[in-house]
Amino acid sequence: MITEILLWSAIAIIVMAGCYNTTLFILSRRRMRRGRGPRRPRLYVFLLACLNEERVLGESLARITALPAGNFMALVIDDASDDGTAAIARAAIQRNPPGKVHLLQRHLPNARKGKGAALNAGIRHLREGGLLADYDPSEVIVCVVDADGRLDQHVVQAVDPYFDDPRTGGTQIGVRMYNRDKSTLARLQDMEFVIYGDIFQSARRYIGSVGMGGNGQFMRLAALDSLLGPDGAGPWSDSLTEDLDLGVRLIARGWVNQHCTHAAVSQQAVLDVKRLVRQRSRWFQGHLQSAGLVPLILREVPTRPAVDLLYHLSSPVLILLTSLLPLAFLVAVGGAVVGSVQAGYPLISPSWVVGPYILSFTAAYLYAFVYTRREKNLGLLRAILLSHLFILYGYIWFAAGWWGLWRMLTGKQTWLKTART
Amino acid sequence: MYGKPVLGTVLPTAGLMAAPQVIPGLPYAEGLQEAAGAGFLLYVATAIAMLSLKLWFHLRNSGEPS
Repeated sequence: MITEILLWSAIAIIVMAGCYNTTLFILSRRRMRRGRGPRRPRLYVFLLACLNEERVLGESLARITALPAGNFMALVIDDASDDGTAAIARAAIQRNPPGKVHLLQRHLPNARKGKGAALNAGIRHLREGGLLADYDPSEVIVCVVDADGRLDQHVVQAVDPYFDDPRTGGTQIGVRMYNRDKSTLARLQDMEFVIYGDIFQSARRYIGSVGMGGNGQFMRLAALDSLLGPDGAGPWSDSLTEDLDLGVRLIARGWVNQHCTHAAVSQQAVLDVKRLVRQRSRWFQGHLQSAGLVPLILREVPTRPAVDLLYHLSSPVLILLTSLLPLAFLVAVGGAVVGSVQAGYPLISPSWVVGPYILSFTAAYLYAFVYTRREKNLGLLRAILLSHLFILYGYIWFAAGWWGLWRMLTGKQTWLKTART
Repeated sequence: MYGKPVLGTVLPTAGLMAAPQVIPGLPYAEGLQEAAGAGFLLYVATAIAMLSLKLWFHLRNSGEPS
């Protein structure tokens, strides 16, 4: 009896998550009505936290400075790079009109303390340098872009209307992979970000729990100011996933986070499985660290977004638990094959294939539908095949999860930065 | 977290309950799935406790004069 309860409880994880995913898919298809306020001219400040980014920084800066946005500036925060990152930033300063590009160089031992610390130093530099003195913090929009981030040219025009609503604290744009045609692994990462943005983030607008990402994160300066600590500590925390942390704290402060589906930032996909798992282990570890946000969510966040955020923050636990299931599947199928050979007749019943397929791959059809809306040239059949592969690709989170847990238990906190190619 | 889509798409061993016990390795497969199930029951218990706490905060805050 107990055995049966436990076996069915394991299936219940998949059913629960499947129901959640389906609900969010339905919500994501609804049209969103935005609150409006008066249109105001705003200053856009692009922050690029860089550690050894000479390979990609030039292209990103060129795209930012070519944006058709009237009032903007870019700040490169060089986090004690060993390479030519600072030289590339200086060249961009020379090339552009005065005041458009700025460079902040951090030096060891105060540098390389993580992305959050670098971004905090950037905001401090802008304030202390008087660069924001003439602006109302409510009309200054700070955008965090990765050094390899290539923003859509219309990004400011797409994001700006969201800030007409004075309650909007932050707006996250979509994330794509600009090298998605290079390999299947890159294509699957692109699919992962499209599905996350177009289903999960879009649906969370209705729930009020939109998360912030590390790339393409637009925030109102007044909202960031509301997160300053009593000791003057900056808005970003030292968590490995400072973006997740910031998004939750904005909601807890009463701000509304938005997700903009009309513009995206394209970044470089990781082309090597080992490096990809390493990157995801860092995100997973950061997610585990974010468990510290639970008391804040319980106290300060309204019930509906709080329930979603609690599910979101607890998803690493579910990932670790469900990682045992494909392992059990493999052991059982392997055993059945061996047993069938020994017995001389098949021991596998059709329910071993049909049940797991329905539970595992039904979502693939929804994901294929969503992805073809972005990649119209792909074709539905190819997208369906790709999304089957995507389901299996998701299993990298199991390896990343256990690695991340191990790093947390052994007290490892270093910034496992993903190298550019 | 970007890994969330994977949660609803895991390959389970749905036929374990009806599988003939002569299959080698089956107890290990069952053990793994039972461990996941036990973990999930603990997760549900924790979730209920947290949601109760959230409800308590909600009721307390709504009762406060504005």
